[in-house]
Amino acid sequence: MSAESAVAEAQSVIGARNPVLNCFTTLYGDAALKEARALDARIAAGEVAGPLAGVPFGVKNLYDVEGYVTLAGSKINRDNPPAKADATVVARLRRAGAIPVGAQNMDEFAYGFTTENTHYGVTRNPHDRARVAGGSSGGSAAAVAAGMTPFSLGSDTNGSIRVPASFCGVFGLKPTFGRLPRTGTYPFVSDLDHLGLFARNTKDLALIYDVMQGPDPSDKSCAQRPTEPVLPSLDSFSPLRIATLGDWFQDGACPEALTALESVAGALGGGPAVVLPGAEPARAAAFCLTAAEAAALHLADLRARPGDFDPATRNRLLAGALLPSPVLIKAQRLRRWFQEQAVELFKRFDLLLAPAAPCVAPLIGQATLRLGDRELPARPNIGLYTQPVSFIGLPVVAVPVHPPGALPVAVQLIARPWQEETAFRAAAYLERAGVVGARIASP
Amino acid sequence: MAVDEQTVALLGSLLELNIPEEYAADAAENLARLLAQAKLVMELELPPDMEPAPVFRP
Repeated sequence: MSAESAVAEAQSVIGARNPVLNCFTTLYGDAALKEARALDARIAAGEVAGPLAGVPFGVKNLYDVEGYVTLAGSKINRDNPPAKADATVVARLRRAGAIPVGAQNMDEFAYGFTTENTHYGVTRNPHDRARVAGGSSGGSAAAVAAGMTPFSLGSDTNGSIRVPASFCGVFGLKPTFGRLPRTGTYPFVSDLDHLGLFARNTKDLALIYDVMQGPDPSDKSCAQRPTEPVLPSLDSFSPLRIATLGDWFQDGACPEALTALESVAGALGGGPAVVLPGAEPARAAAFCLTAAEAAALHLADLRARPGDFDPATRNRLLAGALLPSPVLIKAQRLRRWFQEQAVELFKRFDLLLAPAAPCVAPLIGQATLRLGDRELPARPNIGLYTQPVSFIGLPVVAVPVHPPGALPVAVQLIARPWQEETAFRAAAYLERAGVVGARIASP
Repeated sequence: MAVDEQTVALLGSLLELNIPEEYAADAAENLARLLAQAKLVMELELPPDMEPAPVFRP
């Protein structure tokens, strides 16, 4: 298949499904086709095709793509000039031959778990259009679930890849904090932002992740580690010491999430339920740091043009700006302490499992969700199980489970820092065993 | 911990952040929610020598 055909096919599916699902905010149209034709011509002339030659992909609209304005889900960013260069990881994917076909919808400034965006509309869940796709990388996850592109780029600060992966039933990767360079991406919380991606199978997830890896001296938060490919060893699996995270990470979880957790744990050989001490205050610390850092980032606009924010974002940012400083210092100390609790667990186990979300995808506009016997505000509580994990930067592959006749959920496969390979091997094993997998949602 | 609009307005003024009246109630509600989370952070006792996570290297 030529690159042009692959891009045209993606654009055809997007054309058919995007008007309803609203995954994309910007489509690159003829520019993407032109790029594909140019690639085909170069390959025909003898250039070696890269590992992703002609593969179309979408980017969450906080990634710089040369020539386009990086909206980050906002109205405010519309005033910015177009990006002068691709984000580092986008450039790497392009060098490998992949072709971006558009930018994808997200919660404004990444501050949300549902992709119900006041400016650009809600992204609908391809498995049930009355439900949300999750957030903040909702457009990216939904596009993959709907078969528009084989993969999409997202980001995850408190769960924004893992939650949409769960709600849309696709594979999601949040690597170790600092693994992927964030150069050329619009920030949310510098202390917590991770880049990552979605795909419909582990081989694609691994291949694309390997292409994206590598140090970047222009990103001060990027660890200067060499590339550590996961694809070569993807299919070699040996028994791991597994534990499921109990207590906080199962408290209030819906039956679907717990059943999926049990089936994944069982397929990996089972293991005890363990407690990761301090998960509740760790989540609280992530919550506070997020509000305060995001508020600091947007302070000038909160002063000058508060009415141009999505109301849900604005009100949280205003509150975050007023948080007393000792809370933030304590939150950072708590982060170090909580990391040490995880280190202790990883002395005994190789992989920790937890649901990616406490519920299946809520209805669009749903204000509350039931967690156990409590009715809680939906939006801030969707990320209960993801926030403590990203708070300490642990790598996660979210693996989708599709119960028959029911909405999908995902399970977090959580590995030690820099051990993405462990999570990937387990994910691939589960996929081969038929316990996890993604499928294109029917129109 | 309840937070009222006057408190939000006063705190905002310390930052030269004028919070319009029409947003003050929602901001106050969000701040109350945030402070409830902050309480969980402040209540956890940590070893006194526990350093903050970010480390500056000159």
